[in-house]
Amino acid sequence: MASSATLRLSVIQRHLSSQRREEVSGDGQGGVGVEERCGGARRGCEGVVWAATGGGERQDGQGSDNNPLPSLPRRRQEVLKWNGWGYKDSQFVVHKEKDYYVSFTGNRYKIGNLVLPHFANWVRETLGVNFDDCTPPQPPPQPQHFPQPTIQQDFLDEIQTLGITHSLEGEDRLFRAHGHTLAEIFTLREGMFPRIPDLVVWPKNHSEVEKLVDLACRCQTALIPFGGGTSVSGALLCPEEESRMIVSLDTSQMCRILWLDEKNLTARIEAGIIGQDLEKQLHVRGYTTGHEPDSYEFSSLGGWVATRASGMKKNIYGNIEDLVVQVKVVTPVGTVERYTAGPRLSAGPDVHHFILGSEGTLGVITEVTIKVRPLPIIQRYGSIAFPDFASGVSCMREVALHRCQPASIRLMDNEQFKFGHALKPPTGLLGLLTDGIKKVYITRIRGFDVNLMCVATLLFEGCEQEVTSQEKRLYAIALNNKGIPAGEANGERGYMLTFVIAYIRDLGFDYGIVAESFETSVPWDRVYTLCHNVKHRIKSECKAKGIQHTFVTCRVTQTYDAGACVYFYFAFNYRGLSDPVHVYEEIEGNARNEILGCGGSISHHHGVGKIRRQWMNQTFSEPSLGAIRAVKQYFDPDNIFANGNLL
Amino acid sequence: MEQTMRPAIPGSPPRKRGQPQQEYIDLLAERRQSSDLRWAAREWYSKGNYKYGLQMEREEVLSKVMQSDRVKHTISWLVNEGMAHDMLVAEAEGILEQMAHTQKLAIIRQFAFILPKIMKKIYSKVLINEEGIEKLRSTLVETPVILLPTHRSYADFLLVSYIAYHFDLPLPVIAAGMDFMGMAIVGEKLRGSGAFYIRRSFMDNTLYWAVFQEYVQTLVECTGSPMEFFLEGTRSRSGKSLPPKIGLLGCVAECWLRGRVPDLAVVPISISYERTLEEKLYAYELLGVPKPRESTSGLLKATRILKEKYGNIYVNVGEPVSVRGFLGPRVDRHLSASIPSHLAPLTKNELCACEALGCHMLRKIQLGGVVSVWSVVCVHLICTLWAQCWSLPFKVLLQEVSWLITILEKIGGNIARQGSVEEDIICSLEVHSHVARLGEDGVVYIQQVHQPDQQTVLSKDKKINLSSKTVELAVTHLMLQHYINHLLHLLIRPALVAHALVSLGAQTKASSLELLQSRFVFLRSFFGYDFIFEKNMEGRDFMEGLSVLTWSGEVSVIQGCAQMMHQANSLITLLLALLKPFTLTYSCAAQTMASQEWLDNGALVVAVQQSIERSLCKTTLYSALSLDTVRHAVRAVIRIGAVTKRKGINDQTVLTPDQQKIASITQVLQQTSTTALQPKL
Repeated sequence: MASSATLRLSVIQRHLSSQRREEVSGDGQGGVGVEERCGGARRGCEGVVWAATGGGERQDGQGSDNNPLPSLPRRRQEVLKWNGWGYKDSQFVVHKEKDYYVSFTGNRYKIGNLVLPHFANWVRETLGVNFDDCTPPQPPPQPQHFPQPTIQQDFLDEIQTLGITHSLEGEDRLFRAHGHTLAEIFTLREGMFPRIPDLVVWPKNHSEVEKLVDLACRCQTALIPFGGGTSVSGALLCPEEESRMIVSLDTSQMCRILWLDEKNLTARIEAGIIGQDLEKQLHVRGYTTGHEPDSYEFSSLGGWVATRASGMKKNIYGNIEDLVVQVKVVTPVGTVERYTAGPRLSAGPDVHHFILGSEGTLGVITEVTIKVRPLPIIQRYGSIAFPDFASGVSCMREVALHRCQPASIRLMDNEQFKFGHALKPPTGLLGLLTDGIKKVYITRIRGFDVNLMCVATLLFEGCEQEVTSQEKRLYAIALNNKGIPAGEANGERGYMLTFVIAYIRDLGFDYGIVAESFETSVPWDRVYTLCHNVKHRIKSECKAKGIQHTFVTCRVTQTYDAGACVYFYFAFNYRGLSDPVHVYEEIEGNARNEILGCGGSISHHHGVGKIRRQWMNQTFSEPSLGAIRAVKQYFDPDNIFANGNLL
Repeated sequence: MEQTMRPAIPGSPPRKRGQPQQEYIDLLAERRQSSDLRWAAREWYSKGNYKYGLQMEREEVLSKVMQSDRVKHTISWLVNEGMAHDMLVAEAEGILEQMAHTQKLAIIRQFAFILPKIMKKIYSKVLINEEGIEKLRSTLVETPVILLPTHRSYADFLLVSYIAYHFDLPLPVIAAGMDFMGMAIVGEKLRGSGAFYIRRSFMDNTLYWAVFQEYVQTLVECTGSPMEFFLEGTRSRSGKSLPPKIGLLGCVAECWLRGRVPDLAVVPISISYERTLEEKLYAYELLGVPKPRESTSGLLKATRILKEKYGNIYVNVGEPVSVRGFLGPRVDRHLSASIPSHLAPLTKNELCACEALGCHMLRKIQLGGVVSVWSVVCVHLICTLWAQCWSLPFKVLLQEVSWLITILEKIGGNIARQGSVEEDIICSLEVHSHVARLGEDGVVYIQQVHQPDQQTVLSKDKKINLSSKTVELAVTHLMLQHYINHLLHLLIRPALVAHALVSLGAQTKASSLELLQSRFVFLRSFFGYDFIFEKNMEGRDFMEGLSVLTWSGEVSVIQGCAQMMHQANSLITLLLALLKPFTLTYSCAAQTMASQEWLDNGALVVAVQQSIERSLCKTTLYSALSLDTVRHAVRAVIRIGAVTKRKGINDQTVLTPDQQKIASITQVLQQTSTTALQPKL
């Protein structure tokens, strides 16, 4: 007991100290400053407003009027966790007073600095957590703990001559050795990757990338492009068998908006920009791309293109393939681009589709022309409660049928609905009262069963009139399907939780819980059965492996004409298992088999990477895969882009 | 028969199959203590309902079926073929009305009152493994369940429902043949207890097929009521497992194959009767006397059975088999997952996998069966008859039976043992006294069951193809064979290996294992209709069979060659003897089919039976006359391509023999009968 208490203390100690460091180093950065600095300077101008500045003039770490400082420093580990999700200052913490309780630190999120009075209990009941039994992660590795780099001296000499920023430091290399799958984070907390990049380079622009790719071809080194590092497909892992030097090509310094064309509503942007910076800078000009994947705080434009990303508000703005007008990609045989910016082409197979979803296997995306839209006048949240998941699905289907989706519509199942409740901050007396009335209304008057009901969250965008009419139409369809409006606050919380939920996993690790998410897309007629079967399959696999406490939940996050995207969260208590990662992977593998058997796809937007390669031959016929192989063979005959993704 | 002491069996059993002896409890014990009325009227609700199951009224089920994509699509397709929409809808509704079950607790209670009364009268015990019941209960909560009982008797029909009532399990819905529906009152009572009625053949009736599939699948998917049907399709007259019918199995498996349920559990239920109600009727039917139509008056006439004793029933509820687990590695669900499920009929590969599942389940059912001591007794009684004797000393019988029981238990058979072997034999002779009785002189006398003057069973208008002398003797043989067949599944693997060995001449020279195995594989597939083997398990079956022979010390394997040992071969002698009626039927079938071109119809079957009858002047293997085996033999000869099929006049299939192939088959079959098995010193 004593030792576990000390352990716990040391964890809290670490949490506290890291926060303090953060406060110091975060000074002078962050969103507000940026917005002020370029605040509305040229608002209203037409035509190209941001002319491209000549490449390579900007000093690292310093902004100019045209190119504000990125939100994240080049040494990202200064602001971001080295072994977990997101900002160092934002995390769930367990406190012990009379009883244990949980809170969320920092003030970046609405949930920040709030005590969550119901959460500890929920975790105990659902996942059987014993808060006295804490396993903190290992401390950051010492310099001698990093795998020895394989150095190709010619390459190193030449980039020094070229003056390309680079690093051989262990911390920098480790940060770029992984994405955020369960296995990767587990390795960071408990062990070390057998292979990490040997060198990190930060090219500043397209031409530096060209030089690097050319150099890599000449020196026979492997290149792995690195954008936001938020991959959840094992795409960033270095293949163990790679004997050449592996160079991680970090695109984060290519983060300028080169120009904004207000007549055509397009913008030319360097591919390394991360979502939040892109949006902040466009907002200042009165525009948005409207592309908001859940990871958009950290993920990069190039990464979105390379993985065929999907944004929460795709109903209005489209997915990445709808947003991209042009891409520029450096491959070993030269630069791939389509010269025309025409809105649609009939000119043979679209070369862009070789690049979209290529997952870094063909080259480095350096610049993208992307559509932008004027900022919406108003945004309004909403929610609908349904008596059960089947009614919710049939409502979603009807909404899609009439093509009257708001910017976003998501259906959470009962487990997720209850989970959301567990994360509620304390409410005042009035809050309790209104909550009480609502509960009475929903359960007594409408006859909903709290253990069956589920909730859809809505986000409307547009002008007042549009939003009002959309709301009216939507709530009418909901009513058709036994749904009742459940207020704005529930909706807003739902979307906020999307960003926060990623932080929970790190807390879970401390207490023997592993958690992960995965997704799929599926035709409408199979949405309900797929959700049901996959959840059942996971639970029965867990049972067969002797796992007692599991949490499996899903939500329908996107709707299309012909189907929907379904997102699963899955967590279990691994106390008593020797190899939780392996157990998890087996279960997820079987869940994926079940998904494919039920008519679902290999992935809707996470991509294939390495962990889903085994299902490619159940996705495409052999000649189709041959074509993908042939494209790779043409662009990259020497396998310079050797991350081993897709096939 | 040899009267010397059997050699002690050296070594240990080749493998321990199955579970340690299970605990069986007697369902009737309690009933004999208390009121049947109170039992039938007790407060009853099921424990172990499917956790996602919906309570659906009959009307809800019917309207769901009528509104289904499949039925609507089929109707609109038929409309395009030129039929009237309203008529089709009315027809579909009619089909459903005729098919659908109603399940009323009140009717179950009536049965719960009557059945124990009957059972207590004719059976001494109804034994069941309670462990299996509890496993079934926990499975029922998790996934929809398919119950697959053996079908040896009409008595099977309500037994499972009664067991469900006894243990407070959800009551099954039961697929029943249309013939039951015609029975006055009883037909509707059965429907009320959960039976639904299906036509015997309807593959070519598109609408019927669609309605039927949708009805069955709706029950499985939505209500999660346990679905009970007989994998063998019909009562097995011979007492052996019949080849699995995969129509219904495929239909329920489709629920999983098309991703509409997370999994299905299939539960083998082995019902073993010490004495089958229809034993005598079966013997006549197998000789060619048609079965009487199901009718209530027939049922009432059958009340004379109430005066007789039928011993014990053993019910073994086996380990649930996960459909996902079994079919998962054998099919590629993703290939049809993009087609709307009502438009994606099972693929060839999926059907094949379902057939493998069917064979797998039959094997499970066989292994769960409990072999009565009477079955073992029958083995020695028939051997006595083959030696043209009608009696044998009890002492000899006891010795032989004890020996064979030891062997059967070592190869994993569950023998229904109550007391000492001697007591058990005496007990079983009492139950079967009409076939064999123990005289006061310590001699067991075999009875001639067929009384020439008592012609009631033989219908007058139907002509019998066999001579009355043959029928007289054959009935007893077939009644014994019925019970022998209950244990043949345990011995068939070593028996076929033994046959392969002898046919390769291995009593004199060693034969290589590859050659032996390929001969075994041929025999295994040739006899595949009579003895059900699992698909793609040739190697395992061969090793099982061979290891029984080596472990008994009668065959040695040295340097990849097998040879028969010369000292003692009582096991091999017995195994070969048990195969003889079958090899006789098969070779007569082959020879008959070689004699001329045949139309593939009943005339061929009759001709084969008559050719067997002719050969009986040389042997006494009357059980070879079984029409069941004759039909299997004809199909087997066709399947291995020893005859070529072509379409003749009126679309009849004409079978033209391939003389060379048939000759080689006959050779393989006959070598045991021609080559004498003489131990050499």
